Amino acid sequence: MKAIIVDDERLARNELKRLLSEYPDIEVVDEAANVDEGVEKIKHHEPDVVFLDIQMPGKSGFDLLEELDRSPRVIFTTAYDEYAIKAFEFNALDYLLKPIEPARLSEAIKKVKIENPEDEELDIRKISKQLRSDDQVFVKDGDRCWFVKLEEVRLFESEGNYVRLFFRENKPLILKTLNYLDERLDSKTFFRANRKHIINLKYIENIEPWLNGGLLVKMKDGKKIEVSRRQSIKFKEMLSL
Amino acid sequence: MIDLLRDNRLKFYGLLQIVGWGGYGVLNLLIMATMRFGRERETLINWTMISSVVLIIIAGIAVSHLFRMLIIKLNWLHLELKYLAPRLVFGAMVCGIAIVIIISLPFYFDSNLNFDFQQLSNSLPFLLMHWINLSIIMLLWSLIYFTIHYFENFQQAEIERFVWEAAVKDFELKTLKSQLNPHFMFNAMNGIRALIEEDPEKAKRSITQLSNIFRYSLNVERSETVPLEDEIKTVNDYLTLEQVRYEERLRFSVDIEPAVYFVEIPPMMVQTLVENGIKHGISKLPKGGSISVKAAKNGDNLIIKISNSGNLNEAEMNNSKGFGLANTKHRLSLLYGEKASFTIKNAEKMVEAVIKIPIGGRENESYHS
Repeated sequence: MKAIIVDDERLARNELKRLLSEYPDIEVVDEAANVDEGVEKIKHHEPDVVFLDIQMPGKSGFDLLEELDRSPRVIFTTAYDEYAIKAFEFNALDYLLKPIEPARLSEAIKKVKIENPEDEELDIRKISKQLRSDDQVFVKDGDRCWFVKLEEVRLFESEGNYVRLFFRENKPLILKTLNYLDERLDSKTFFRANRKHIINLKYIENIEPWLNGGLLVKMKDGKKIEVSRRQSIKFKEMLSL
Repeated sequence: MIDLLRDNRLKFYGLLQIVGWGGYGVLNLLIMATMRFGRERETLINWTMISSVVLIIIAGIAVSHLFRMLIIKLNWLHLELKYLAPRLVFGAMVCGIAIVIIISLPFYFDSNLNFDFQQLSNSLPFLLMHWINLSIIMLLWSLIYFTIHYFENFQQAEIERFVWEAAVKDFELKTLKSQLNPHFMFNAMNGIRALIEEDPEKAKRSITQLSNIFRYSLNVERSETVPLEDEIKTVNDYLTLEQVRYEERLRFSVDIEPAVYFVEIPPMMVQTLVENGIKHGISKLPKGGSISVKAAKNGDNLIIKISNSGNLNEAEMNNSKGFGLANTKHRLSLLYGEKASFTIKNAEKMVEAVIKIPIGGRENESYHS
């Protein structure tokens, strides 16, 4: 398993590396002292797990996650602050308190291994820019944050330079354009219905014919999305396959 | 203390009742005597007069005492004036009638204990006058009673307010002596853990420094002020430890004029500002920065100047994060009043905090714990 450590303190990184040296199957491929460096290195290495400090100069660990299209498995490392609890509440993989207790580290690593079994397909997928429906994205809305599996998102709605994600009872905004997402989302699960919406096919309740040869899709949450004429042709083709 | 007060209050009430009604009785007696002045064959005072006056005194005390019980029972002491006034007027009138009945009743029985209606109807105008007179007296009584109570309540509230204020001040001072930032503690421990392998000698020194800081922060809870020297020693240890974490990202200097080593200052005050400087200034800069602490004598004052890299965000300072700064100000004013001051401002890419403390004098020594 490839790991990257992001922490602004050299000593803290060294200490964690030393602790991780006990685990032969975990390879610390790189380390970063700040968010910008971290983003670059994560994009480059596509690690299986990132040990991420929350408080760093300039940008926080959360900022780092927001800058990534696809969130890697994250284990937060933090000394003592309110973020730790917050991150955990919204199903972050895990967090470790510094100084790190070896037993807790071992637990956290076990969890990563369970949720992230090594398989070939995974490695192939990582090379491509394509996002898979079981990839997770990090979403922050004010004080709340989530790791959301893409397959949980019912609907993407364009709002200027932002996109609103609809999942469970939440609908936070992310700083991405709909076109950007359209290019990367898995076309087996997600469909660009019109200029403003990408829908998750798993959340469709029923489909009716609509004006001008278009379609009206009723989602399971009751929301109605119009499919433009041009897209309707594609849609019908796709569904008949 | 309170029992004594209550005891005295009852005595005071009793005394006032006796003196008041006694005075009123004597006054009545004098008036009657004056009216008889000049009449021959009659003495100025006779036994009938005395007995009626004694009756007035007893009736007055008894009725007003019952009235007082009623006032307490009905909790009139806490009524607003607009509700209280009509009740008092009515009450005074009822009391007036009661007293009139008590004092005049004996005069309407003849020697065979038969009631003499004829005489009653003859003296009705006289009784009416008596009633009005006594109602006014009762009203006056109420006025005195309530005035004393209001005055006493006011005093009581004042005392409570002082006691409360002192407690609050004490509490504030205790909490304002901000404790060590736990974030710092854990990060320092983590750094030391890494040092154990890398540089055991430095790790040992760091543990000693951390112990010093910890001990200092525990001990100062007991004192209002400490010599500047002690505080600076802690600040030095603190900065050295933070340098273990931040390495080349933290540069610091501490420069204290020997003349002010022993000036007493509120503990943890410089320390907190230095911590703030690192937390809000240097730790936010990817390339780090510097912090300097200077202390010098200026006239009768000690001037401590802490400047660190960074930028003071006014908006941020004014909301929750400014709490530490407001605390510093508040703490200084609690201890030194107007004589001390605290300012913080941006100055050429640095944030500059300045504390002014009068040498050799707390304004208020009474809050020594």
